[in-house]
Amino acid sequence: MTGTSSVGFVGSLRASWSVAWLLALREWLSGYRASAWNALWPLLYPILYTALLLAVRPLLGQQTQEPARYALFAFVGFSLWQAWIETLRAQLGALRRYKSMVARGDMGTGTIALSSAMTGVIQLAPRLLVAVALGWATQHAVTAFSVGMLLLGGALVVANATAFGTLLQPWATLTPGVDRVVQSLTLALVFTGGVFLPLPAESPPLVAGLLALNPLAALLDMARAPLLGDALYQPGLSLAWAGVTVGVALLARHLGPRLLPIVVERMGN
Amino acid sequence: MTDLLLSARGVGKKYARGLRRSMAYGSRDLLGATLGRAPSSTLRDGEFWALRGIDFELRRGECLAVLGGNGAGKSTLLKVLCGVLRPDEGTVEQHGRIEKMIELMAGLSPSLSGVENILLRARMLGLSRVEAGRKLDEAVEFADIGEGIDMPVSQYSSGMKARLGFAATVVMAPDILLIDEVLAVGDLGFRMKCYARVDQMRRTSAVVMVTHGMNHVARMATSSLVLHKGQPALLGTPQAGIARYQELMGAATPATEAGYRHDAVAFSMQADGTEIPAGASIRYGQRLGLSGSHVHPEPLWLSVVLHEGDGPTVGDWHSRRADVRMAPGERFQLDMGPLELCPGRYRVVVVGLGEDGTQHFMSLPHRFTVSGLHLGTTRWQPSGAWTTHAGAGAAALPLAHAGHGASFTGDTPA
Repeated sequence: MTGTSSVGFVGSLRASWSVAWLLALREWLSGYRASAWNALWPLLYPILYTALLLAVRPLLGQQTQEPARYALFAFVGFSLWQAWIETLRAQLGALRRYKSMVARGDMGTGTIALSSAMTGVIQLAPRLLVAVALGWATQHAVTAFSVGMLLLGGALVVANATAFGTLLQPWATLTPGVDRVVQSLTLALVFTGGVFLPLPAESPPLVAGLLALNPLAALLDMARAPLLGDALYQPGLSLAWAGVTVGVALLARHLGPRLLPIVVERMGN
Repeated sequence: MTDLLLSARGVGKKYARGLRRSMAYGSRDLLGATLGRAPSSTLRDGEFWALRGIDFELRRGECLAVLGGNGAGKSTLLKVLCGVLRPDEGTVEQHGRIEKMIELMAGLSPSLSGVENILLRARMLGLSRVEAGRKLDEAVEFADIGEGIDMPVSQYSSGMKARLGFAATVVMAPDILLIDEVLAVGDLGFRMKCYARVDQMRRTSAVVMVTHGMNHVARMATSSLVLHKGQPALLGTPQAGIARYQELMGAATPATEAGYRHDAVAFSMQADGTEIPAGASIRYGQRLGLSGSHVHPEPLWLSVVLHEGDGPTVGDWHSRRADVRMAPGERFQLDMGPLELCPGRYRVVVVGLGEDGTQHFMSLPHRFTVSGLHLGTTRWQPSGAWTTHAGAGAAALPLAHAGHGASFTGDTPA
């Protein structure tokens, strides 16, 4: 299929951003209108888990950690983990969610990805604000740099989930098994991601390899370490995963228009 | 020369039968597309061509009507043209902004209000905020939903959704407009607005219109494409397309015809005095007659009923109106008069009715087609006797009389 649209590249980029924002914001608002819990839950979830982990930290071998520090550690960890897994799942199911618009050709994969990313950011923003407030209240290293890294790390986490979600989306739409595979890997991703357990300073090569394969480990560390006043676990790894995120996003953008018609055809009416 | 906006060259699209096979092929196609392989044009196991060999060009101001029976490939063609489906063969070229009247209500986001949906549609087309605002005003006025325009679409009735979907599409002034059997929605007043608007749009856009309304084809199309089992059966003028479409539809007669004690009656039909076999074609305005006999043991009235194809009744010649009652064993004749019918397929049945209206028999149908110029969809289209009088007021015009008539006669066999 070839053609020239009078819209042009700038126009279509503007259209995608505008549409994605409208969908993301309005859907969040409609959820809130339906029930205030829909808006509060994304914030309550990490708070409740933080409180739980704080209570059981001796079972996790974290009894020597200062409670306030561990609370900040766990809260940021859970917030970013939640943002990553929710954005990934939203992207995997996005074609089915927007099936009617996609089937009419009204929306492409780029706009859908942008919308999911924006939704992830909207839900993550209040959690990051709470993290900064918690850091300030517990007298941790709340500086322009640490807040900037927290925001950058948060954005990269959402972008990473969006990019991988977009890449897996066509297969997830046609093959229900992909969703189940992601579900089954959840626990492994949490444990190797440093969500509520610090990453070991030194570890056997196999463990180090597993940790390196988890995008969450590197990006979460990049977002959280400065706020805690810690050194980055492996700065090179964080940079590498940031680069991989951009690369996967570009690949997904390139493949999207080619793959979408194949999926639409199989989705049926 | 007006600009070429849409062209299809050798377009073909195949589907797989069975969900599991379709998904399996889909996964393979995804992998192939990821690796940059072109789609295969050979049929795999369980695949069939839903569309093949489609070629046409469309310029601004032209309107192509796509005709065909169920499963002919019309909607598939529209989806390929707008890029929702990729062709397995051939190419589609489009220039300009494309808008689709396909599944109007499906394009609405239920959590958004009517206003937000219109803005969403405008932004999807790449319009700026200012342009989107202008379109919004126009669409709100066209939809005429009142205060409901600010409510979430999930609370709309189906009529309101249809109005909104239509309004959100027609105001966008596309270069190419694709219409899938949704030429107008809503009540009569709104439908008139819709027709007028689409009429206006087809002069400034290139339009591809899938429709079963022959009056739309006759009135609006500049060319027609008839599809039959995914293949083009004709690409030509609208009238030629209508005739070919009706020919294809007429070829599909029911496997078994329905009657009731049909052995009790037998009849034949004549056109201008010459007997016509079942399935024959007559011209608009030809005088039809019917003659036959029945073996019912009691006197009864006869009703000769004309139906549209397998559809509703068009006319009914009841012998009671002529005060002609058939005695047992009588032969009967009916002069039906000139049949001024809209071109199409028809069938005639003879029904025997008792004094109290009880149906004693109904014959098997005698089918025929009427050929001629297609003007509108009303089945009965009498020509009347038209005269014009220059300069006269209505009161001064003499009365006009039409002299058509039908007559029932019955004869006892010698």
